[in-house]
Amino acid sequence: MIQVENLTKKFETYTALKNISCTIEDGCIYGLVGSNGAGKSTFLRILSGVYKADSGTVTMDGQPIYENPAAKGQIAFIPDDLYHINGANMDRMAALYQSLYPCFNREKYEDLAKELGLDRGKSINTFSKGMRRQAITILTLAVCPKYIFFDETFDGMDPVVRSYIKGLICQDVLDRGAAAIITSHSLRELEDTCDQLALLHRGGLVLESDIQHLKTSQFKIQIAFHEAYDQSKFDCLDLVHFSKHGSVANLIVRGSREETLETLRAMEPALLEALPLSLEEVFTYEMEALGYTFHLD
Amino acid sequence: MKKKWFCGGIFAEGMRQLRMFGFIMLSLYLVFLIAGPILEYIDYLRYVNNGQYPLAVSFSSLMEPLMMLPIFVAPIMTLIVFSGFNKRKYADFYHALPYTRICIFISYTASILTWIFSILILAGAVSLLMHLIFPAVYVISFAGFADILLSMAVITLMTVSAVLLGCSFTGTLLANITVSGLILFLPRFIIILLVNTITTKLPFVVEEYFMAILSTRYNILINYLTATVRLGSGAVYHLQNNLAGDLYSLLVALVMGTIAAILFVRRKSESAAKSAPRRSIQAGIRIALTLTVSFIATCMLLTGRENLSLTIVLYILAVLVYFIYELLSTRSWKNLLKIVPALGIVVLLNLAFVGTVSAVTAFSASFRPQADEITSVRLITDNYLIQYEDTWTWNTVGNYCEQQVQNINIDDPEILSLVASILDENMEKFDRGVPYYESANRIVAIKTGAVTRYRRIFFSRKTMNTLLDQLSQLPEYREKYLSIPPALSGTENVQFESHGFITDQTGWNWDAILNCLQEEIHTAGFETWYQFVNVDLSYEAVISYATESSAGGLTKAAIPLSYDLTPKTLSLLIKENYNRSGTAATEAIQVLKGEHDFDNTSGYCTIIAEYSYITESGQRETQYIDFSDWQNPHVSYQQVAQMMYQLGTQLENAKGTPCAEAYISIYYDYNIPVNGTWRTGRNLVYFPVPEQFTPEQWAAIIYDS
Repeated sequence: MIQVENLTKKFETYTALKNISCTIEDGCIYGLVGSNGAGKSTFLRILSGVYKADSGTVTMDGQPIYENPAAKGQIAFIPDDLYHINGANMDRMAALYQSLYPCFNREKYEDLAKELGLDRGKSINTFSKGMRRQAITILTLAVCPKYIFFDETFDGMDPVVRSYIKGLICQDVLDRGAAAIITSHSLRELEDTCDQLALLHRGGLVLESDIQHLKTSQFKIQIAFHEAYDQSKFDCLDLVHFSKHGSVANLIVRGSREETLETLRAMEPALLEALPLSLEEVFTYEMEALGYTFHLD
Repeated sequence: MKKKWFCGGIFAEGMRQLRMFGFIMLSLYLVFLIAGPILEYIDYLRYVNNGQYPLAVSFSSLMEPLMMLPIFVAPIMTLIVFSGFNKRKYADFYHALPYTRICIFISYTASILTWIFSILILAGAVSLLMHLIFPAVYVISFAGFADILLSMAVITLMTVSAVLLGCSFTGTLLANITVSGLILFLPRFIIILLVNTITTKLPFVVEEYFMAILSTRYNILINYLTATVRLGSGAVYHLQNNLAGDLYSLLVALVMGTIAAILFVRRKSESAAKSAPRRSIQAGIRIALTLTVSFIATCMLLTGRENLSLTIVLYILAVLVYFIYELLSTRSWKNLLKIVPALGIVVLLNLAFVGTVSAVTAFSASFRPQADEITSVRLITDNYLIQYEDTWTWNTVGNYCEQQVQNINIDDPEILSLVASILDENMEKFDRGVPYYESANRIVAIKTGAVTRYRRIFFSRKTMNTLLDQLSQLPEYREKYLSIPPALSGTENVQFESHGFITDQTGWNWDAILNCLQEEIHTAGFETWYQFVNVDLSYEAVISYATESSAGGLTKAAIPLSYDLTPKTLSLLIKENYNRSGTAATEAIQVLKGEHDFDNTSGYCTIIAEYSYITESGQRETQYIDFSDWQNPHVSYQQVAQMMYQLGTQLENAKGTPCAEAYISIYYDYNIPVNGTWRTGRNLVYFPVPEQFTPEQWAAIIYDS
């Protein structure tokens, strides 16, 4: 388990992360979403031991991570800006990884390379952006770490490969109890893979929740009445958002869907329909409720 | 534990990163080191050995070409490995590894040092081997073996540590190189400027011995570089027999390396691609760089050199350097305005420099001990005189003798009184601004109590003679002065003043010759010998050989011989030449008689006969004739041939062995074609004077033919 408490990181006068606290459990796929400059990469670099926090603590199973080889030995990090030795091919990089990571699984690396159809003997310099990402990703997966961090890794990958890699991550989580943190600025990217989602905005963690809970805790109601009405008619509900166009109102309601529908039927509406919300819509309305207005994409 | 201090994988990666550059350097060196001796051997085969072989080489001189490795190659290798941390993705990758930062630092540093020392050892071994396999061409002295290796190791550590320190807290290649250079050179550069300025203002202060630790001898890297480019009058090459310098330099290297390690561990990954982690450090680098130029201008002002325009240009250049560095390192025009106020620090530091010079100058000028305050003095040789391998001048003998006496602590009251009074005279003239730079000056180490200060004291001819007279009374001084340096066996040869080298002197009994010479010098006595080696210009021959220098390495000793002082030694040499001449004597006679058949496209160029004898009144007479330059219009070619034939016939019948008292020598040189080029040879043979041969007979042969 990775425990983050009151984490703050500054770069000269700019505060990249402000007082972040969260917990990443073992066997969890944790999604971190935020706009450009929110602090996602900084967060992962601190968790990987690359950056040192200015205040707060970051521990893995109770041990600090920074300058702790035992803790860092269980972590693998795929940054957004990938490193490879200039002119090296994949096998050369595999040799490097093998010399640096004791648990590097050569067989797994070879299998993955074969699956993805990457030429191990060719210089990585000649690969496309997506292929380089694939190469570094499979090298890192072959390290078989307990915690693996992906920083906007899937950008630049085609949907098929993306789906394949996500499958590998899930497999690792299931088989080895590994935990993964995936950052992205796209909710759609994370929706079908992650267990937990957190939203970073301007260095602060503004929302953190279980995805299932997020998806089921809110829903949209479309309702219409013959008579005139306003928002006060629905004071009995836990209303997140209310908008009205003509006689039709759109309500975003938090709570039990059946109970809410029961209550609204009792009002004898002319029109009553319950609709599911996308994760993006859930986030948008939650942020509105918190006083943030912005667009994620 | 393993992951905390050293990682074999990172070490191996460092070795791989340096592989290409390392192999290129090694290959270049091997080509150079192998080709040199082979080419020298080819020259040896092509030309007649007229005494220039074998060449005496010291182990330290074999290693000198490798000095470029620690000075240039080691820093480049360090940059290759550690400048990677200037890139964010490289830094992030390595900082994410399950190893501590100190482990990364040590592992990479170990790979650099492994490469450097491997090249040094391999190239050094190849160089040594290539010289050992040609014993006819090279005689090797292993003097300074450990010294030079230690010095090279220490210089390697210095340069690597300085670059590590430069890279540990800067994040761009420009800043890496700039800061590394400042760390290596700026402190000593300032010291050299300071000392040079002070010694220019105070000619009696000796640069090399100024303020102990400030001497370049203690920083062996700077010492080597300044001596190589002859920077500063006190630039002396102290790469060997300089344990204090080695130890001090090693300490500096270790301190720099330790600080580099600490800073590397503390270095933030986000400082990659930034020239400095903080503005204050950026300012410090900028100011330090500017000082390198501004201090030169300030020194020029202080020493009163009449070049005001150049001084102004230098100050302007300093300001330009200030702004240009900022622009290049930060790529920000906006910063240029912000950094203007910090120029004031540059001004203040220059003023501090001026203040330091003034204070030190006043302090140095105040040293005017009375005779009773002086415990002892030593007369120091200006060492650079004996560092250069001067070839065929007899001055090296005097220098060697002076070098031998410089360790004598002289406490004779008369000498101390003389030194004190001359120094006082010098200072009094200095106070009055009167130039007093006499031709004769000596560095004198003046010990007062526990402190020794060095002053260059200028003597008039009269006072110098007085000093020498008094010195010559000291038994230890006389004894040291009468000793000749030990010879590196195999390097001895003799050159006769009139003829040059004698062909092939290998195998001569040099031990006996040099022992005889030492005895004759002792017999001659101090006054006579001193006069001979320092004043007299006439000599009959010079014995020269390689000998170990007190500063390490080899130098060439050249000892003059004369009939008056060293007749026995000269006789030995003449006899040795005669006894070992082999077929040369026969050939010489054949040449004289016209019976020697050189190749029909060549012949002899010069042929000289010399007849030396003692007259009845005990005077030496020498008569010689150059047959090849016979210019008398009344003497025909046939007459010259007849002279030579008669002389040859006389010599053919001569019995006995020649000696210094009486001999006839025949010298000739010749050119013969070999493989499309000319091969030059010469022959010098001493013959015993034929029985009943007289000067009249010589005249009869030469003048009556």
